Amino acid sequence: MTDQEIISSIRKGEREQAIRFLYQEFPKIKALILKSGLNEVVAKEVFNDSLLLLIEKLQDPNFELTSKLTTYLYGINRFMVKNEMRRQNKTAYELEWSDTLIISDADLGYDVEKEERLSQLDKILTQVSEKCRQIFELFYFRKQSMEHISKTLNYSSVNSAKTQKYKCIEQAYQLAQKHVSQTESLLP
Amino acid sequence: MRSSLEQFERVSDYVSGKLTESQRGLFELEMSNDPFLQEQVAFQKDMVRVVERRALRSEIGAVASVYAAGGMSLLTKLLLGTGSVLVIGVLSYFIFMNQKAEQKPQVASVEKAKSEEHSSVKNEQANIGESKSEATSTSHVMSVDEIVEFMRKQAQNPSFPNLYGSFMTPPLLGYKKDSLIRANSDFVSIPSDSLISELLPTIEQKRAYVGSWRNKPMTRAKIVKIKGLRKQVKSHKKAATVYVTDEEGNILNNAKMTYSYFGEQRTVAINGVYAFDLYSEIKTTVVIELENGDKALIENVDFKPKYITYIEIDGYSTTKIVKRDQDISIEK
Repeated sequence: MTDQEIISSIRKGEREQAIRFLYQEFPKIKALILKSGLNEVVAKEVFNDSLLLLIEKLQDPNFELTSKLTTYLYGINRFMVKNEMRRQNKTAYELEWSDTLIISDADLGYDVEKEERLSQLDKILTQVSEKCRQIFELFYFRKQSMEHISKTLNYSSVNSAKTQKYKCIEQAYQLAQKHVSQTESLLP
Repeated sequence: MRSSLEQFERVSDYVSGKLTESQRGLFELEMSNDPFLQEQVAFQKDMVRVVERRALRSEIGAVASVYAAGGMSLLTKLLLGTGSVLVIGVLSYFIFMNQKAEQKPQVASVEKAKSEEHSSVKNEQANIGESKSEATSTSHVMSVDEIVEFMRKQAQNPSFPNLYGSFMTPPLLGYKKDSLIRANSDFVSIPSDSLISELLPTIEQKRAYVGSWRNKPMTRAKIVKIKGLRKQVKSHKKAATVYVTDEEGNILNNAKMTYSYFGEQRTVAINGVYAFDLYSEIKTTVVIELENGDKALIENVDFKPKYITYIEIDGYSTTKIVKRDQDISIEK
């Protein structure tokens, strides 16, 4: 696949082949990550997160790729490794990545606080009911109409599906608020 | 959430881009004066992002698990990817074990460097045969610590000569089981007073490889498809192995030529994915680093290869030596 083909299929929502193609870089990148002092599990997480960020970036129609796609992927991995090393209070072995593209937070639109917030919200989604998760996926990800959702999930009416969605989001919101207040209470 | 269902729906429509332009304008105006509304919008935007990410993660996870299970066929692995090519030279385990019987080789004479860029090196006549002979006769012992100390000094003082007795590009060095070989006029050039020349007998004895393949630009390496590659590689599982990786075709081509020239068995993996798959357990490597090789040596000195004594030379400026059980020494 060419870079353009990958970008085009990702923007069309046909991501599987593109992901599979990009995943071929994993062994090489994993080797670099391991050399940087991180373990295999983290290496996989870092790579998967980097791939995720790359795909998100490519989905943005305003994003213009200025390097080879794989070069950009290496760059994101370098960035993520650096973050992880910082998080683990380890010294970054920049040398391993000496010929890799340098990408900054700004280039990537990466905000540590926001990422933490999203990560927390992700955990919260595991605490809500399965029904709520289905609603969220159908509504926010599949972009389905409430009418369609009410039929798919066997609600008696569109209004009751809407009410359920509202309750679900409120539940998630309450859990998020609870987490924020707990975190604040731990601060000195 | 203190919002009503109605307000929630408005926020939801705004986040989903369902409002008309005028509705959106009004909503944004209202939002600019209402921190709570801003918070709701931010929360729902985060929700969209998280839900999308979960779906995306699951797609990536599915590919990852297929990948981990070796989902690609050998043919796919051979055909896909244009990244790194791995050139693998396999040293026979028996040769490795019987090295003592084969040691004390004659070392070919080495000419001075011909590079016009490095006149200081150019003017140094080197004869590795003599160097080896001198080193052996004086029973010089060079421990790993000494080498590391040498490198530290070099790092601290830029005028301290590098292992090659020069300040620029190192000589191109090849090693054969019984001699150093000058493959062509630019291939080997080792100043007689450089540390590397002192190490040559050690290299002979330990049968470790030293490699640096930067040479005049050559045509891109021809990718070779070897029939029965996996079987061939597996048959050498116990062999001491050196592998070289680089994405530059001319470097790989030179490595390939070098190993062929040395008469060693070698295997060429058509791409990095395949090579890493095959050689995931190999711990010994010759790496061609980029610019700051000296620093690499110092920082990576803890690296301990599992199988053989290990010598690494980058394409530019330094040497790395790591011991396994004992210090590398030059014996009589």
